[in-house]
Amino acid sequence: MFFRLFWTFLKIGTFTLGGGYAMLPLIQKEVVDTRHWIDEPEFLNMIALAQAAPGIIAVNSAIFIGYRVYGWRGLIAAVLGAVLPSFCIILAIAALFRDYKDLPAVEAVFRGVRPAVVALIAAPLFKMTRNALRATTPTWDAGSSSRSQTAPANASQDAPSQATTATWDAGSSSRSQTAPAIASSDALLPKKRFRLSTFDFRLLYLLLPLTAALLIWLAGVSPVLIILCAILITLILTALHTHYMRKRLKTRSRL
Amino acid sequence: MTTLLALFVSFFRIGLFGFGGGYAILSLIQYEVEAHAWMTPQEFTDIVAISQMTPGPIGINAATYVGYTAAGLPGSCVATFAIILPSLIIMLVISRLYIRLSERFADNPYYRNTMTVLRFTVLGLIAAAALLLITPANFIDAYSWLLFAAVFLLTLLPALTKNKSDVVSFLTHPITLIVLAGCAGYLIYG
Repeated sequence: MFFRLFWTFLKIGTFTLGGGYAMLPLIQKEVVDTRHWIDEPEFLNMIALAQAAPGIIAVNSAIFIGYRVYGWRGLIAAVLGAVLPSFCIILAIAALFRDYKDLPAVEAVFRGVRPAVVALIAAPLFKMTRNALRATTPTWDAGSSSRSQTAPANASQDAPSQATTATWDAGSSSRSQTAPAIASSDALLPKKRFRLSTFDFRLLYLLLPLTAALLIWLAGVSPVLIILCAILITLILTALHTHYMRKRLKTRSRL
Repeated sequence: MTTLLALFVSFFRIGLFGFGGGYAILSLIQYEVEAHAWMTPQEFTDIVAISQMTPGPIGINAATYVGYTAAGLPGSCVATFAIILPSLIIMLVISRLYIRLSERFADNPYYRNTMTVLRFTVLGLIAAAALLLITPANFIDAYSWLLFAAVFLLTLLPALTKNKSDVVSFLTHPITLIVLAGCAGYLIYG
């Protein structure tokens, strides 16, 4: 396991050209698709944590995955694998060929690689969006569906897996009497995703990446700030929503 | 010895306050390098170019290079270790916290909502990273866009054709595509 982690991150480290986000398609392919060490929702959460923490995103990701998969030893293997190729190559360049970057052949190769890296970062977005939607179960109830138009972050009762969906349904059976039919029926059939007859509230979640991308791209907002704001707003909205639901349950039990 | 200590302190600080990765870290390194007069501004510009033209994370590349220029092989080891040490500590705490939280609070609405929202926000971050890389420096002519379209379509090929054979998955592996794009670049511009 130690060597498998080391080898995987050595490969990833060697072919990361352009830093940071260029590493993500490689990690996704090797760690999520091929080895199945972590699943895709967790992969996306990992990116958020690696971005929010200080330091180099690639190293942060290696630390998280290594530790998640194989504890301490995994952490050391993954970090060594991710750092060694670039360390050795830079050392060789600094010591031996300082005019490496002036070679016309190197510049030509990189002219070809740069647009390819952009495509590699952008292309998996479709699949990732679909999988992120799939991992989210829409279980809105009457209380939040009206408010969710303005705040897509306010999904208090989304369940990450079918198992928790079942417990939620059992626990709130009294509540679902007033909830719209969409919420309960979709929660029972999480596989049936896009029906034209009913609006899937999960699609509101897509406003999140859209806003985040536009804020970073056009307004130059720092991604770290966006992640921290997203966490803060979600916690506040969840607190408000839980408070609201509790109050409603109380008034109903009094009736 | 004092140089090594200064390198360690400087790069530890860079690792600790380098939020946002890559280019954000380069500006911090530039500040430290100029404060200690480890290299000239011209040399630092070279580092940026070299970091982008070699595999690996830009922060690691720059740290190794500055360390080597300032104090040889020991310097490069110290600088590289110092820049990942804060990440190591902080990310370890975060990973442990995440693993423990995901077990204990699987049903907690606060935890679940935060993770769901983060999942979708990150999609936006990735999209922004791709959009920010579409610059005149990266896309110099029509060939660049052709390569971009080719790689984009090849990456989507397995999903579009529902073909999961070994040949297709080898052809659409990011490493294969990067190597092919490098060869194409050499043929077109070399």
